[in-house]
Amino acid sequence: MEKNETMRYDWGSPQELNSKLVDLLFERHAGYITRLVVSLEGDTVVLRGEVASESCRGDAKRLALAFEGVFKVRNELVVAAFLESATDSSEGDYFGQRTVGRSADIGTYPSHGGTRSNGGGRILGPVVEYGSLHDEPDNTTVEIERWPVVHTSGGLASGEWIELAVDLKIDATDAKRPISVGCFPADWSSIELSVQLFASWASEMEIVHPTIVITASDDPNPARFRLRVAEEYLAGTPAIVQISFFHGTRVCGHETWDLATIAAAAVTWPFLRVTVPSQAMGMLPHFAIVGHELGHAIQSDIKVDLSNVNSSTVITGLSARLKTEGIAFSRAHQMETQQILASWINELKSDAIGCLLAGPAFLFALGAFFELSGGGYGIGPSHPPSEMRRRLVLERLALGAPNHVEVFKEQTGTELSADLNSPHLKALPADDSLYAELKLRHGPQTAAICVALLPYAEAVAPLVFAEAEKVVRAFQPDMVYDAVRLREDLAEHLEPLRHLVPPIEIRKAGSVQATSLAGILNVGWAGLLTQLDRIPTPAGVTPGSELPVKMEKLHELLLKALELSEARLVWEEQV
Amino acid sequence: MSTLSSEAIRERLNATDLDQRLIVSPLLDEASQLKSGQAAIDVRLGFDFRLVSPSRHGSIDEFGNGDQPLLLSTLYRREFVPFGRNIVIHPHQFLLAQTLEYLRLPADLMAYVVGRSTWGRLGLIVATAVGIHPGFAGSLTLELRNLGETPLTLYPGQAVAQLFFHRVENSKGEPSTEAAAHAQYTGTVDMVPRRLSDPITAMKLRKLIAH
Repeated sequence: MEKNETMRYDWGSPQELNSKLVDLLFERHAGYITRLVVSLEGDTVVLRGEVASESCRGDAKRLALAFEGVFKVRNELVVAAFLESATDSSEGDYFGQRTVGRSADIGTYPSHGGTRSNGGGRILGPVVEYGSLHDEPDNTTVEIERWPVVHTSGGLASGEWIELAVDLKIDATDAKRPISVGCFPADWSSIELSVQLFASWASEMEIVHPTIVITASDDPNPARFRLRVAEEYLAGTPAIVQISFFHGTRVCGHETWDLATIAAAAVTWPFLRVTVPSQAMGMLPHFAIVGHELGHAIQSDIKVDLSNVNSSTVITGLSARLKTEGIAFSRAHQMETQQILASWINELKSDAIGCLLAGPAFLFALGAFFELSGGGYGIGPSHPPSEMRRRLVLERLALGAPNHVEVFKEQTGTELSADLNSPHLKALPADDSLYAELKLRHGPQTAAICVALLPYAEAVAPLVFAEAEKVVRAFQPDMVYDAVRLREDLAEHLEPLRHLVPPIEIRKAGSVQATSLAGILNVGWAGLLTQLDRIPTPAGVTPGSELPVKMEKLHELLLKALELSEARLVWEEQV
Repeated sequence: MSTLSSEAIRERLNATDLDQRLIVSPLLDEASQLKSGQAAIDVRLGFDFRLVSPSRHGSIDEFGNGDQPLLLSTLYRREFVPFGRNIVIHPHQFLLAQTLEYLRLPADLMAYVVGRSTWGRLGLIVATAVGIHPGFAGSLTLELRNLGETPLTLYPGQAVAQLFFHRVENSKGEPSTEAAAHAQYTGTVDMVPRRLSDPITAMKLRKLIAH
């Protein structure tokens, strides 16, 4: 038994056993479980409730016995034999017929024989209403299909209640597959269906409205439930709800949804959430790393044409490396290579966006983040190596005239090198040594792919950076922090910063404007990396602690600049 | 000691020489904050406030903890009030506020901060420590007290005080250049004072108290 499979059969409480057993039974007998309650009496597991078939009842006991530590099961499940699925029906089952245009005999419909409790105390019978009264039965029938959809009231949080609406629509683009309601006379007007749901992650359920009333005009009245998310529920994990649809006692169909996914998708867009690694946010200048995370938000808009980049060396190198391990190159390796390449390219896209939005500040923040992240090379199936990424950003900053590297030197007197703020970042070793290290962590196949992809990633990086710039310039040209803006900001603010004046405003063409965030970050980094020795030491500082005190002072000034430049922007927006 | 006119203030604000430049930033509306014919710049309420909770302290005693210095920051509670929100100062309440503007005085200028009369007539006193030394760099702390009988609602961005600037001269009547090097609050953005007495004074007073 696989590990995951084993985990499905362990349990810590009767509730957990109940929940897992329902899940397992539902996989085999979806729509056949009316109610299942598991209790523990001494060393005996007792199954009570109602199912729709003998095989379902038998499987319930067999599955219960498969759980760890369960040796005695008393099966008190009752089989309600009248339940039958529309799609499995026999020839004589009127509602199971899928032939459109067949003569209908309303009189054979078991209007009361199939009543069933829906678990909420209400006795339901199948209801069909017609648009008009007929003296003669209509001889044409129609097969009715509807698309099941669910809506939730919000996100899932442990211990909280959510509202769930279950609906059947004529056309639903986001539905999985249609439910066959059955064949009905062509002049039907409305049909009432009951809904049953299982949600093992819910600790309580309230039935607000247990039925869906569908109408010919697609103006359905959805079923509504309230579910309380169990305290043990872990946010973000799947919250599967299994829903069965009944017309009377007949099972029309069933469907499964992950409410966690639905709730996440229900967020009103545009909504941009950017998360930043905590190590990157020790000081304000590290905020430049947000540029990278913004890049991930728009990476799908950056489409890079790689058709002209020779990729044959990747496969050649990979095959040769695998051969030394006695592994034959296969399609699976090709697939994994494509996945890793896609992930690496996404990282390069995000680096490109960060570089475009924040200029050298991004290089400094990226290098600092790599160093803070530990002593490794940063390379793996999700990320290309840190040293390569840092170098590619610097190469991009050195492009054009004027470029950031020239301007930085011109304004600070300091060479803008890759390791200016990250001198301890480890350079990549030779391929064989790198492979040996990666193999220990990721296994031979992934390690071989990563090493084989290195030259290819280098080759595609200029295309990625160029395309990213094209996208940003097309949509938000003002956001590009080019070398001209770097020169303006450093020329305006670096000397005043040495005199403890924060970079709040900048004078441009006779007017005064708020300094941009990118400007503040770049002035901040330039001050930290090249001007600390020229900033006056505050009075009363203990000898030996001048540097951290100056850094703290500079940081305070940058925060003040951010607060007040933002204040100016907000003020000017009020017209 | 002469007082700078609005023209002289404007000239200092635009000085290219950083040693001569007066910085009051941001001036959200320069025309209304620095009116021609007047001799002051209006300054606005910032976003940061500090409230003293008197019931938490029997008295503020610098030497009440023996050799342990009094941590003045423990006396205050911080309130950050963004644009569009407000804070109410009740009758006889005392609180600290910051100017929205960051200030830097060149070595040859000092300033006085004075409450605007409009607010004064409502009972609001904006500053008790009114002198600003040459070379000061930082956000200005206002000591607000409501002497009136009615609560006053304060909004960040309101112009509550004004700054008058004066030239500082050496013994020969020339612009002073030495004052900036000795400024205590250089680059400060924190309105809570670090200490009440300088270290030597504190040490001597402790010895006297111990006897």
